[in-house]
Amino acid sequence: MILTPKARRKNWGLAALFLFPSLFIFGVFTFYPFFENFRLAMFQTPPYPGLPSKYIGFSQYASILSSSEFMQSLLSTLFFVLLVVPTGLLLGLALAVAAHKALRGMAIFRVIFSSTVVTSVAVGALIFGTLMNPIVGFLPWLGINPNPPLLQSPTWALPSIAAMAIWQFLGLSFIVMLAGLQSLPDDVLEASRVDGAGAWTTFWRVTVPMLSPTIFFGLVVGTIYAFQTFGQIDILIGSQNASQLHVNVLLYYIYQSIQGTNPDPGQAAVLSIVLFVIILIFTLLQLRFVERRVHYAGK
Amino acid sequence: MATVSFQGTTKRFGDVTAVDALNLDVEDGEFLVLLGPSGCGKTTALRMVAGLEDVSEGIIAIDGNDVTGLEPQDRDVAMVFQSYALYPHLSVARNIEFPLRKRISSKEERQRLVLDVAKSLDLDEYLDRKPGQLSGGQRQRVALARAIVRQPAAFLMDEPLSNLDAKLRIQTRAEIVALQARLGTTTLYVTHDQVEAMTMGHRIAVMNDGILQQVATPSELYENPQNVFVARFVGNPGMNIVTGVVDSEARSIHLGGVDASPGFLHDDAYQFNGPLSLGFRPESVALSSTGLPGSVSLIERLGSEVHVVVTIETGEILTVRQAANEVIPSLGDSVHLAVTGKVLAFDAQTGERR
Repeated sequence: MILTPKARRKNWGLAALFLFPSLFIFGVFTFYPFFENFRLAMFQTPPYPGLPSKYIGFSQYASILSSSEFMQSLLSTLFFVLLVVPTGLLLGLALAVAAHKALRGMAIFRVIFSSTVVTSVAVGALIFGTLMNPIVGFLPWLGINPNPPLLQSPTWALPSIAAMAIWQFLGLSFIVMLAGLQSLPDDVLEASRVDGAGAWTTFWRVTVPMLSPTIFFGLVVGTIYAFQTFGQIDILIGSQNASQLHVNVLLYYIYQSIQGTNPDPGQAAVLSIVLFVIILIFTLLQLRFVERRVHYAGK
Repeated sequence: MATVSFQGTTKRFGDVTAVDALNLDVEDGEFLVLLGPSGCGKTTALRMVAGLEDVSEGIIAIDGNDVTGLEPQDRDVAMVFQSYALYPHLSVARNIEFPLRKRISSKEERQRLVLDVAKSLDLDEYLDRKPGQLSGGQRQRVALARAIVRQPAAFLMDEPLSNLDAKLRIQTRAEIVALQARLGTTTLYVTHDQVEAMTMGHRIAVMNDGILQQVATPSELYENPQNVFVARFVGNPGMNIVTGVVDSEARSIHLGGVDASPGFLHDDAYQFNGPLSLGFRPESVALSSTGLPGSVSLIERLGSEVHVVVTIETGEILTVRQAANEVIPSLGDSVHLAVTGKVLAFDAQTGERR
């Protein structure tokens, strides 16, 4: 369609009008903070409040990234992601396989399994906090009284938080896997059974490869989710004990940097950029290497 | 190779009876076609043999053994699906090899068998490709290769040609017939296409509403349909049916109260008395100067022949098969029809053959 200059201007005007709300929101809450963060990372915050910050450029990265506190936070984060993502995906797949069967009353289980998607982190944390409470919790009820209690133990605090993160991730993982299973063509699975494969062989040799795009999607989304865990730690552990209990994962470390009486926006900015780069690298690595083993239909 | 038999086999989905007390024996080495309109229960019957559908009542036997409760993998049958159902993530070679994995432990032996079958179906060039990179006809051949590679007791084919274009369908039809003749494997083939059924099957089992209507050879089915449904369903176009009252002694036929006996020249028409449905093939009726009056409502030209569709005065619609070189009337012309060939009599109420 050929437009006159006037009509073209009118079209552009209309497009700008429609785009404005989302551009405004993204601009204020995403693009501006994103670039401002890079600027902040160049400035060192003085150790006393009220003094002006000082431009020191990239040397701030070096000092923060070489600190032992950062290394400990990074290790905790990686361990946490390693605990949460594979377990969450496997359990989600197992529940989806169970709920995929067309049995009477299965709809109720589907609602229950997916319910953690609509459960807020705060509510989830309170439930788990109560379960793990050394006095009124589930473990004492079972006669298990670890000392120190799980959420106060440097060994068990992180796995306990991971357990809760897995539970919270399970709803999404379940929904994604179930949707994937339901989109698989029945006749291919039936062909496998007629071809002599039992349920187990069919699952591993036919279902899982055909489900690989879904599993891959779950892997990417789950990794990003696990890297960004915050609420559980803040509610169940709190800022005071996070680092000595080894649960100050990167996102929490960022938060710790800017809260309290002497916030350090420079350090927080550097850490945010590091977290951004790590998630980016993980996602790219997954796209590059894992996706090779993914079978998309029709390819 | 084996026999396959349904013995009072019934399948219900809730209140709906998809297959109703089916009794049918497929002989060893036979090519039997299950024919019927969609929803007649033919695919359900096939799936029960495969073990993909539970049997509500009765049994399924393969080679005399009751397999009703067996899992699909324990039945030694191979199935070709309408959609081919190839494994999209496996190469052609791995697709064909899949049914052998459990049966043959030697990898070399498996590869030899795959290559043999692939060669016999002209697939050896495509062994490394994925199904997504093949044409419809090639996918169809991979599905066939996967079925024949393990030499099963029986082949089950569920409308395997329906996703192919018309030309390829005719070619593949002949290939499947030749393949079955060469291998001699008992084959149960489901289709709704009566031309496919007539050209492929040793025998045809016609089903409607879950009930077996007739089992016979293609020519027997065409010549001697057991009821009005079979008469109408088999043949292209199907048999013409008119309903009237016959008096054999007076040698009269009344259609809609009007004497139509000048239109029925063959003695067959006057064998029975009473209210009857009279059936005759489109080639048994001709345009004539006297007989059943009517008007031409449709003309279908097929090249070598022409189908002239005539609506007679009772409102019944009859088809006349004419050679293309005969005089063809025009749409709307008033014509007369004379039934010159064989006439079959069916009970006017039940539709069963008299």
